[in-house]
Amino acid sequence: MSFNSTTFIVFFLVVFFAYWAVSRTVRLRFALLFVASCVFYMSWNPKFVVLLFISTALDYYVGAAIHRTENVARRRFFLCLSLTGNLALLGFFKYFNFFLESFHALLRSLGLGHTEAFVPWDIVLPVGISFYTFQTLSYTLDIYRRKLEPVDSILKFALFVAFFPQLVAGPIVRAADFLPQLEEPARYDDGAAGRGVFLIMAGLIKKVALADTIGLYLVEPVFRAPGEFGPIQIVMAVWGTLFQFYLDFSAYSDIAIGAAACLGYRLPINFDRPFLSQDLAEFWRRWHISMTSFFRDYVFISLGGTRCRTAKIVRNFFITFVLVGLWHGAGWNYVVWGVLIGIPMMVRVFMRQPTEEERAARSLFGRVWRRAWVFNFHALAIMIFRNGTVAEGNRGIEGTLNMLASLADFGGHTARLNPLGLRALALAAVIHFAPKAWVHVARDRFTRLPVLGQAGVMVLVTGCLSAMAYEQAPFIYFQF
Amino acid sequence: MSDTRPKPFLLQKTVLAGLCYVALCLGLLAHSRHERLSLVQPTRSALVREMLCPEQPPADVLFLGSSRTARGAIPEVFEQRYEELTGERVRALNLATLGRSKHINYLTLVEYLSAFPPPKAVFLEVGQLDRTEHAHDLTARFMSPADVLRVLWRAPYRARTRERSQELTANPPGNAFDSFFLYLERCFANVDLAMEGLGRGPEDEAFALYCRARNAWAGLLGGAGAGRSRFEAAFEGLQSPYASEVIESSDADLSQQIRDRGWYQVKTTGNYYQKGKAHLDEWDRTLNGDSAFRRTKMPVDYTLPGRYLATILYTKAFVDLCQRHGIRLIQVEIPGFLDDAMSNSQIAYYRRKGELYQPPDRVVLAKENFADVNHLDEEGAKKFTRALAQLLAKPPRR
Repeated sequence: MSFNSTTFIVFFLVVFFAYWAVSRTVRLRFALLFVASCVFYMSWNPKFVVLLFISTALDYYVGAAIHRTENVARRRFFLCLSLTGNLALLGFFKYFNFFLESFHALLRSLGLGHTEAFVPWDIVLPVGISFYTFQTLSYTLDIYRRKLEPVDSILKFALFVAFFPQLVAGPIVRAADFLPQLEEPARYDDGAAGRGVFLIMAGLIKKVALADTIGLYLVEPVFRAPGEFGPIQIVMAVWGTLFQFYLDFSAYSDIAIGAAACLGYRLPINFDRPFLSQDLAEFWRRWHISMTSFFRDYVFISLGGTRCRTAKIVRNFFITFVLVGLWHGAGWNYVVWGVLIGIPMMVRVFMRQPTEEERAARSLFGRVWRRAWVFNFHALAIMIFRNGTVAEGNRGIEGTLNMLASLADFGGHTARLNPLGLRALALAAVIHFAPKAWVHVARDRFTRLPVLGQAGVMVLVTGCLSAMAYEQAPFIYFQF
Repeated sequence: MSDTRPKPFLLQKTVLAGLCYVALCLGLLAHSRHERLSLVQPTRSALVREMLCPEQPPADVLFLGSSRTARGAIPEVFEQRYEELTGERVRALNLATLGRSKHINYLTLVEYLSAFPPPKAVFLEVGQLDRTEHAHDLTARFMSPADVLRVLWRAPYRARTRERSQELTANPPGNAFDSFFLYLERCFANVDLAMEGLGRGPEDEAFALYCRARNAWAGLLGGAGAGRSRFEAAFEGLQSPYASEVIESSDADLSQQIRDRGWYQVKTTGNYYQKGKAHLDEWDRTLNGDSAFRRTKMPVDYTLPGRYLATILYTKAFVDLCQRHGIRLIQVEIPGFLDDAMSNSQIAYYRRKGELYQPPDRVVLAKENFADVNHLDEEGAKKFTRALAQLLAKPPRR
């Protein structure tokens, strides 16, 4: 049940009305949301809901155990239990084949072991496992760090883990942000619900009208056969890829935040116009914010952060970005991608960083070329990512090198890009770079519309999008 | 003092908007179903169903396609020529009818196979029929907002009544023969939509119910006369699950032709035929082979994603179905007069999928063999059908 499906719209409407109908009874509303979340998750693969229960039960009881004891060794033991349990599940379902294949390749390169090709195990990746594992981990880690009190009811904790708007592809919600909301009385806020509906509409437009169109008409043809296209077309497709990833994922986050708002919950924003970033550190403060802040708080800072020797800071960045790469997928191309995006961050350690005054005093040209550099750097990196995830044939790093070679090939290209993909890319750029105030104006105008006007806009948007959808494309981040 | 009590949940603005949204969606859904149903052309479907009824003997050769095939392949001529060539008697059945897309032809073959043993061969029309922009292809492609507007504005919601259809037939949009065809094709694309939207099973029942109600209403309003009361006319209408044809006034005649012999030709005295011939003369005066080829060769590329989705899917489905049942599938380009040359990409595509027959120039080309630029006349159909029999008499090339 993807957000961009009619089934989800019907499901959400039913949950919305049912939730507010029973909202006065605390346990009933939590139970209803939890059951709805399980139904939502089981629509992909019912049996994997068991993993969700295991992860939930493990961290609920481990969290309580950590809180109960003051003995440091015991606290560490319970934390290790939680980390091992969660990461073992994640490791088996997501990384087992990768590690086995790498081990197999290593043995072969050393002249040991079998010479025949590696046959992967038939392991299906449960949807959203990377996201909910991080959420449950954040709970035990925060209790261990004494930043959070354990929750008093397993139902509340289960709802925090399984809350359907963010269950499958984020944003990764911290327990400290979400659990206190469960203690608040349920009070319907029509303004928040109106803004939520607007976000859902905006997310659907981003996903169906822009991301899928760019993917289908601009990115896919070029990545399928880069040799048939000229350098400019390849550059457009690579830019398109970065925009497609941004639009696809931020659309999911928008719909998640909007759906949660309609139910009276606040989820953190996940994207803040990342292509306006003037340096790479700023980019990571604007792109997939919930994930980067998780890695910052629980990995980078745990390793020592920036309050240590330079060599150690570089090591901390390296480890963090390799893990960021691996979190996205089990493959060497993700590791390479992680290292590649980490290198500039490591280099920054040796450079003096501009002060806020210096940043503010930058000329227009200075700002533009810095943004262009950040954008193009990530566009280059995304080629590795794209070739390893959704491109036909999963050609990974080799595919990226072939594309880079095609950039220098200026002769005899006959294939042409579909103008629709280019138009969608241009529109996406306009929407991204438009002032935030414009979005707020549009949102306020929508919420101020009369009832029938709002309903009309909703019918128009969902109707047009359903007519446009060539096929229901899944969200890219589902596979992470 | 102002009242600070919150409004009840169901009276909140966004909640009301949500409820209105649900109501509007349901209303639009019902309306679109109604529109689709009223546009399905049932008589032809009904006739095909009658031709497929199990009391009929099974056929050895089937013709499937649009009006080009319906008017261009004559079963008796085929049977006779095939017997001359091989000494073997076969039964041929022309299941093609006007405005049929590949989807419907596929469903027809599925229906046929559910009632009869597999035929020896199926002649399937390709070319112009596959280039028709079906409504859902158009909307799915969404090449520009103008495309969507065009679909909404021009077709298929234009002729909802028999009277309006007749008016349009008599006065085609812009008085252009081609635009009339374009209009017609898009209208028939709704058959596909109806099939897709409703599914094969309920479509028949729902449509039959709709038609019965509509016929009864028409009888009640104006069916009195010839010794019967309005109520008798309404009752008569209620018994008929079929709506009436929209093409020209000779629809009854066409239906009778299909019923009697399995193929049809329009009356040579009719307005439709005269217009077709006039158009043919004009093309003959103004175009030669080369200029016509340049003008009508369309840049069709089946490899473009999102375009011609239906053609690609149903061509594959046809090939698979025929392979499963051991049927020889022959894809046939039905001749047009200086019109609709297939592109190299199309030809290559069909050849990859199986056997493709393109009639050589010597089979049919003269203006005299055509009723209009798209359809053969009876003489042309005889010539062409003989060529098809000859093709089947030869063993397939490996």
